[in-house]
Amino acid sequence: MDADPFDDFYRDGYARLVAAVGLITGSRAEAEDAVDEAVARAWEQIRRHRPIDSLPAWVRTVALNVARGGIRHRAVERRARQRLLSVEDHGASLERHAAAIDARRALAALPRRQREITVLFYFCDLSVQEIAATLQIDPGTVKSTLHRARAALAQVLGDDTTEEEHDAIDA
Amino acid sequence: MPSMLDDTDLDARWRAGLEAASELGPAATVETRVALHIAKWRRTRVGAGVAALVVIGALIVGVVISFGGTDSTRVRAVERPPGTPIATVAVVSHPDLTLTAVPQTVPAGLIEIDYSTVGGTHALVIDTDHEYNVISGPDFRLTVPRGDSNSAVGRVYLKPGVYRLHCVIPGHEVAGEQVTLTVT
Repeated sequence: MDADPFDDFYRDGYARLVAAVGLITGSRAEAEDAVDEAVARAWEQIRRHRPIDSLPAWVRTVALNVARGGIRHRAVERRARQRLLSVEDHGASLERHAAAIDARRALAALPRRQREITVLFYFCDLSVQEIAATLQIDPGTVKSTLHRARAALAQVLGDDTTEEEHDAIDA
Repeated sequence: MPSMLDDTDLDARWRAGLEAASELGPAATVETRVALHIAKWRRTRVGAGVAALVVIGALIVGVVISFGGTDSTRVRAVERPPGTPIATVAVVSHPDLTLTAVPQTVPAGLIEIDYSTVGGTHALVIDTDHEYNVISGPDFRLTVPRGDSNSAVGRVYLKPGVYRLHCVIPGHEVAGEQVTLTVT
């Protein structure tokens, strides 16, 4: 291997992916482990001469699968919601802290799939097509799920969102 | 008439909220630590007996950390074989069952462990000073066979903290085959 794709990944994508998975799982530590596990599996793949087209996309998909917890997914999801609703002060400004708590409360209110899609769309800036590829689902499902997630977010965050806007989102 | 995509205020608030929320989080629970620890030890295939002992140890340490009020942050090191190391530590196992590391302080990041022995069979692992996050895996559980002189090179990603390097061959650590590595 000449250029090391792992170097590029660590420099450009690692921190953002950990943060994204942390938003989904509610735990940064667990997110780091999920991403690290995915990177370790990628390394094994490459070592066994199984090429990976796009390392960031591959790691993203695997990390989300790992974070989902496999057969333990119900317990994993229950803990994720608990963690999203219980946060500790990290010294940010009051306004920023309040925004963070609001966002985590809103995330906790979303079903797992909606949370994943909304984080990938709004936080990772992925397109609908990229999200569909990451989660290995149909782009139409991504769009409809995103729509439902947005409606739910408007409910949770929308203290200053008018009824008309709710209607527009739901339309 | 506003459309779904016109609701930029919600989008903007949501994006800002996610940015802020990504910096926030609860500490890892004891349960999480133990679960992760079990998973890591299973991957090393050390064996159920050793894994069980380690889990008991992890539980004890976890409880102490939870209730003891120590100021330890979640110092973790993670196996990441690929990448370009930013520092190399020369670790040597000596015949009198001592272990030396040069330098003993390195910056955080991908560290290369250049491990060599001058006699005997040794297996080097790294763990943190505060909890049982054993660093082990195919590329940094460095085992060298018996012989006059052997060496192995492994890489490990280390965050700031204090780590302990030691030999896992029974009796070696107790005899003094351990050394501290500080990551700044």
